[in-house]
Amino acid sequence: MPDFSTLFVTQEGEPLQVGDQTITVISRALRVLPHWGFGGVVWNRPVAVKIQTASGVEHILPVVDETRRRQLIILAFGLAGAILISLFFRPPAITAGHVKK
Amino acid sequence: MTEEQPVEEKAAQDKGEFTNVSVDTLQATMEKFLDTANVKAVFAKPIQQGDTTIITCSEVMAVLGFGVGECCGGDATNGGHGSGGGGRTFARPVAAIIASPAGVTIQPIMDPTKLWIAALTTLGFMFAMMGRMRRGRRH
Repeated sequence: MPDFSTLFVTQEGEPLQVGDQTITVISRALRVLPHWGFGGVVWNRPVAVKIQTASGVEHILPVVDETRRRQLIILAFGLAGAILISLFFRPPAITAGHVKK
Repeated sequence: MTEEQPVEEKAAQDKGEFTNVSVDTLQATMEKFLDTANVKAVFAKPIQQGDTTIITCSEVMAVLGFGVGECCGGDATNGGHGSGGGGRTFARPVAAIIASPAGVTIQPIMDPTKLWIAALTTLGFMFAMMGRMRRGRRH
């Protein structure tokens, strides 16, 4: 069995010619494989597209996961909201002679 | 990923060759599982439409676990052996790469259901927290 000790693996696809430009897709996989070898987790996602023009200029376009980005924004709003709620709706402090049942 | 035991495997098991067959099955399953880490699992085959080429890309996640065991010698007369496993693969479209002679653009593919679920869960959590803290103030 091949050695999969590396956690993150970045791979490039085969270059594709479109017009006068060459496109190469790039992916990154997270591989968690226990060393005893009975299974594991693989999370593979697109990272970027490398574009090379006929003049030799190379630039990289990132592939943004818009759904994940917005989910994280919603989560951040939720956390901020939770902090605000805990500040504004905090129960009053127990003063001397005021025993809480 | 529950599969019925193949006929060959059952016959081999009867002959006491279970271990070899199950190791082969596990190895084949493991190889298929590791294929999900390949770049080809994420990017689809390019679709050509005139001068334009479209490549869809997805996020792929695979989980797999299995185990084998035997007891008391491992032969058919005084022992036993068994194996089992399970796994799941998830895939979600992320974007479409559109390449034409004019240039390359990446169009994101959004999943509104996931966003609504996230928003409603967050709101529900916030309202529940507010209600609990209000109750705490009254007591």
